[in-house]
Amino acid sequence: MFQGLSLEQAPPYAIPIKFYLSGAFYLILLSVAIAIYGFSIGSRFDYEVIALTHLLTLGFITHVMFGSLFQMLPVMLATPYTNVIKNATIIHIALNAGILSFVVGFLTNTPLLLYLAGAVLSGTFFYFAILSFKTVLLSQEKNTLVQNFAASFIALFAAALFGALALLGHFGFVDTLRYGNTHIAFMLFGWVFLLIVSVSYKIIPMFFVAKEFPIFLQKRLYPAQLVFLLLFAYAQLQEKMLLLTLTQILLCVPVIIFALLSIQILRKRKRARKDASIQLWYFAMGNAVLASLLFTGANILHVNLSFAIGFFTLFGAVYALINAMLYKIIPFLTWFHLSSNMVFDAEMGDVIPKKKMNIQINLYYLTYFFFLCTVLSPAFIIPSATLFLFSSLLLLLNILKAQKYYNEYMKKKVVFE
Amino acid sequence: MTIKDFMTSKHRECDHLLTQAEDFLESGEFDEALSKYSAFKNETLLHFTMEEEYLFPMLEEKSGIGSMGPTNVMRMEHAQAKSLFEKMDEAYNAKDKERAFSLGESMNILLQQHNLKEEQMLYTMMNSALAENAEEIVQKLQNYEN
Repeated sequence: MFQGLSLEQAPPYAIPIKFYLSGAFYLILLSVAIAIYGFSIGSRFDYEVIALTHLLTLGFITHVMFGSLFQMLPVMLATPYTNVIKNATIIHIALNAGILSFVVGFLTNTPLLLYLAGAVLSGTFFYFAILSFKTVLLSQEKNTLVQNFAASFIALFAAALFGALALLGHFGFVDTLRYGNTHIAFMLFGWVFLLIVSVSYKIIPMFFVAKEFPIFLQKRLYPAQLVFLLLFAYAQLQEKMLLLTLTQILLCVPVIIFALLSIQILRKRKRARKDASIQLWYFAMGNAVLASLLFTGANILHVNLSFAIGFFTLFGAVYALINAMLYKIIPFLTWFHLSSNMVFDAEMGDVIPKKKMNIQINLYYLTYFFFLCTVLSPAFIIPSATLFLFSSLLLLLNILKAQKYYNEYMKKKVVFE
Repeated sequence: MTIKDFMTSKHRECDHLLTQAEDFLESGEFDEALSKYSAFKNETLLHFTMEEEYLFPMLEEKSGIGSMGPTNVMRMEHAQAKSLFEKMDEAYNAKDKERAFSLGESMNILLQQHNLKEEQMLYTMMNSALAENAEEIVQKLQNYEN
């Protein structure tokens, strides 16, 4: 079986780009929502906080992850998604319907919209997890890369299940807190973390001409994390408090190991030239370590650091990492699709001008800094939201620029009769 | 030495030459950069020749995979790389550092993913399908260099 990267297995260029554009659009909505609701936020359980958090997690992170998987999973494993255009379209529409119902439902406290969101989103996530899991199983080889991807989809399935149960809790059916915490753990320590790990094993050595991650880590990290997650779910749902604290600490260990190791591997890469995406990667990994240490410390000392941990994890680590990957993936994807269509005039470096990427990234760093300043005064919310709006608009424009570049060059394609 | 070991070692040599060229470029030593880049280009093109003229036809015949299978995808990617070389020549000769780095990025990712496919699949197939004559084949490949 032909293993490796092949454009023959990949979907049309328009599919990942559609997901990326939608993701950037939700960032714009998020920045506006922060300006409107930012001052009235009190605790992580406020409905406004749940809505805003999910604009980032469902709106941006999920869109980019789904779009990248539709593109990269078939390329990495040489097994195509079945009916990729139809399935990607269904998932894209359902995901957007679900996100909008969810966010509006929480912001307006409308039970009907929340029921709808619960049904549509859990259905979408189950469908995507099963579809991707099936794609992984169809791979001829069952190597560690395949196993790592399978583990992330198992975590996604469980996370969606606990998320749906947590939503039901808002109507008094179950205890929202217990199911909500389990949902968050499976989403972040399972689905998001294991997916990032799986992709990194492949693309860090490839994009940066760096060493492979140790085989031991590739084989042992994901089963350990799945076991910790199962223990966490048991402890959380059965309220075994000592075990819960222990598993919360254990879940952070693989994150810290991976973050430090990826920094070390990148620092020793052969292509020594620095670029913005490497700086973002270091930044993201630093935030991941910081968030993990805070999470561990908060559990041991029984202090509430939910906002700080959430901020460093989602905005400092996951957002930065995705931003870094987008600026590596989109130019390559655009150029590769073009040259595979025999359009050889295009150049990867021209797809998104470097200067515009750097401005967007610097605006992100500035936003991060201003958000930190909100600890000093809530007045910093407005400049933070404004900076984030500009950063998000620029990200959207940069992705649109890539799409325009692709379309313009495709017009020059020579068709041989 | 197996066919896979020999060809894989050549991939690493090419990687090394490109990173050396870029290191010189970074420090503004353009003559050295051009010299390393030329070595990288020559080695890579020689590698493509070994595959297209010698190894691929032999594998296609022995294994029955035909010329429209994975070897065809490899040939297409060789063509993509060759088109990039033309632009890299311009950039290195014009001492255009930014453009050379940008094109080097495309070349690097293209070659890395290309090499991965060859090392994971094609060379393994060659080791198996051409096992009987492996020693002779490696000898011939070494002679290509001279």
